[in-house]
Amino acid sequence: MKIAAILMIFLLFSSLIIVGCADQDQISETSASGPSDEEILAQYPDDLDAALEELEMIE
Amino acid sequence: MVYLAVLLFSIASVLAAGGGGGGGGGGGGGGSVSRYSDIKCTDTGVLSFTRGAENEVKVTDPNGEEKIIPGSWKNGKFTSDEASMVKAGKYVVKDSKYGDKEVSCPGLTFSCTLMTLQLQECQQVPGKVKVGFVLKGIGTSPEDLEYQFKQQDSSRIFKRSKTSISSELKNFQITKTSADFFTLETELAPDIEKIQVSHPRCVGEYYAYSKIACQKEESKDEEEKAAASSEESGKKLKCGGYLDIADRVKCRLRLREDQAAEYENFFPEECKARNDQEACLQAYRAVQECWDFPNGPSRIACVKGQLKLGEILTEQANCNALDAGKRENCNQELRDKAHGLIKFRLYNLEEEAEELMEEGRLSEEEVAAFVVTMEESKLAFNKAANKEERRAIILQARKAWIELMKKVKVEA
Repeated sequence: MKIAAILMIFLLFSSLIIVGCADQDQISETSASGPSDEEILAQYPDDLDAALEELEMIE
Repeated sequence: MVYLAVLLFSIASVLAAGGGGGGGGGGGGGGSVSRYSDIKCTDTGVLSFTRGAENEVKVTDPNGEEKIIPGSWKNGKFTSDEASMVKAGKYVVKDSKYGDKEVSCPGLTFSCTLMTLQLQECQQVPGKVKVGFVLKGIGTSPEDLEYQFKQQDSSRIFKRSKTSISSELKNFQITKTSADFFTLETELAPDIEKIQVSHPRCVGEYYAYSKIACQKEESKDEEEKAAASSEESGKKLKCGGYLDIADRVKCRLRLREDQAAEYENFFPEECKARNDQEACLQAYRAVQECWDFPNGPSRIACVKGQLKLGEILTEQANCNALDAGKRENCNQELRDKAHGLIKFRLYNLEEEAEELMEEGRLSEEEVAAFVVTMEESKLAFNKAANKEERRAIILQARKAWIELMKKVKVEA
């Protein structure tokens, strides 16, 4: 019984480790692709929407 | 067995914590540099350090002699003039407030200020170019120089340096003909208008470069010969005289603040290519005061004021209310002013990038490449035939901005 219980715990934590590693991979994949263009423009605005509007108005 | 389970549990816990941490930490820093922590002395004889007090810099040299070091201060950082620390050895920076600081200098092995670089002649026979030049100074070698050949009636430049060689330059050879005089010979098929020789380490405030027009050997015209033989020194032409836009931009980026007054010596890239150069220069001069405003609506309002541009739709309505004869002129003027504002927005991005460089969050190379792209965008904008082309240029500029911003280092 004791052995069975320990084996169960072992299997449970092994699967936890595998899930954890998979999550880690997902996280690093997301950060490797970096922020989207929209996020970059939100942080560092280029003010070129105004330029595009001005162009629309004038031509 | 229980021990094994506990061990496995603890391993699992560590991995989970690592995964959830998201690379935090970092710690330390706080942005500002502590006093003298960055003290440095280079082989070009430059002493630099950060110290709160921006007062006279006195040092005791390896011979025990005290002297004042010339240089400039920027945001609490002192940078000496080149070739100030000539002798190798221990120097002591005198500081009665915070205590003296010792620094070791390697001794002067190279200096842009002490270098003489002067083209003497450039002759071209079909398929070949022959150039004579003087080079002298500590640590100088013709192998370290960059040679640029500008094609006649074209903006094309053929280059030869330690890092890149144009394939058109064949059998490139430099011969030492006397102590400081060198001869360069190369095969080059296209007709050459000018040659420039510069030192890549000296692009910037020391303007160490030389240009000369190439003379066709068969030319008998005395006037042409005289024009061809007159060398143009970088010290006179400053940043605006470099043949290549990348060098002009890099040179401007490297200028010290006290050299800002020399701005008038630089010709804005856009004006170089325009027929109405004087009007273009005037427009650039007019918007200079707008840099004093913070980036945003107040700066744009200043630019609009300088360009005499009101609300576009209102002005357009006013133009359309005019007689047929005046209407088109009025609309054209309005278009030019609006285009000026759009180009200023590109110019503004260059300045923003420069600020990030000054904060140490972008490299000089990254910013220089971006500035060149923006300058080329402005030139392309002027040449664009219609709205679609202009729109595409703006969107390309946005792409370049986003790519640059991806490289910005996160603040500590």
